[in-house]
Amino acid sequence: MNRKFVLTVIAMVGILAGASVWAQQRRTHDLIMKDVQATYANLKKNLDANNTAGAVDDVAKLQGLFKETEAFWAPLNTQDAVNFAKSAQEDAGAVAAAVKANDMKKAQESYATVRENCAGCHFSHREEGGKGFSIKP
Amino acid sequence: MRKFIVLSLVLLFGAAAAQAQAPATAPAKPALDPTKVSEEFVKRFNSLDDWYLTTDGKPSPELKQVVDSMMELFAPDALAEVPPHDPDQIGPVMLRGGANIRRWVERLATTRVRILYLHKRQTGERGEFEGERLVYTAPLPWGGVGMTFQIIATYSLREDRRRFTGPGMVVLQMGDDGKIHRLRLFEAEMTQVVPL
Repeated sequence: MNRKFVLTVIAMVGILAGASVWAQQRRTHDLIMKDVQATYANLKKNLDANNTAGAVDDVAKLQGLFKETEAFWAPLNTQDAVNFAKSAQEDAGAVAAAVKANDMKKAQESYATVRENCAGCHFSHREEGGKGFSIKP
Repeated sequence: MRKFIVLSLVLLFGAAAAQAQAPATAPAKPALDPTKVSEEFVKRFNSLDDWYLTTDGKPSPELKQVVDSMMELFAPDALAEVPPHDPDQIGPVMLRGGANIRRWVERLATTRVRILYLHKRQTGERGEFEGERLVYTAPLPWGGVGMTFQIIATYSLREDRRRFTGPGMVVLQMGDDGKIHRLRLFEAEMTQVVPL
């Protein structure tokens, strides 16, 4: 009986965790972008303050967010946006590597490179209208 | 005198009755304005990329609107000869009927961005520098008007944003209903636009 109960609880936790991951992956694009903006700004603060641990956390979060961005664009036959998202993940990884190596100058340089991916993608896929931004396919 | 008055009245009423029975002349059909047709064609064609993605990655309702707007120009049984869609296709593609043309229009709307087709202008011998958008027309033997105009076709591929441009020509056969019954779209020597 106890064993059955434990198995049931494990199964339920598994289902909930799976649903949570699925929900994370299915977040809308505007929510992902807002998270990117906040995390990117926070990363700058941590880099300026030489806060290694905070910067590494931010980079990990950014990489996850860019992965979500890639997943958003992947089924939409828009390879350039997918490439920007992939490149942003790699450049964020370069920030993390530089921070771990305690090379804050290099980290700041890589930080700026991440932004180039954002700008490139926004140039092609973001349009500002009267009601805010629209996503161009 | 009395006879004359009676005869006059009979003739007068007879003429009035005959006129009343005569078939009313059909109101003149508004003449097709070729310049307006060409402008509308180019405008609606260029609008095919005026749609967006929703934040959950679905096409916005504007996609259907722009396709519908383009299709309004065509007669239901229209015929269109359009450039090939893929590198393996040799020669133009013949599309019969509105359903097939709609598929082609949808394909354009969903695979191209920054669509910019220009009706080419030409300067004449009057010293003008802006030039005129010329539309060549000819009456069709079976009714309606044939018209053609030069274009410069420019667009980017949605997939990788590669941009292409080239000269072309639009040939339309307009029916008396004001709809396109035949379309021949030429796009020649399309060249990829690359930054210097």
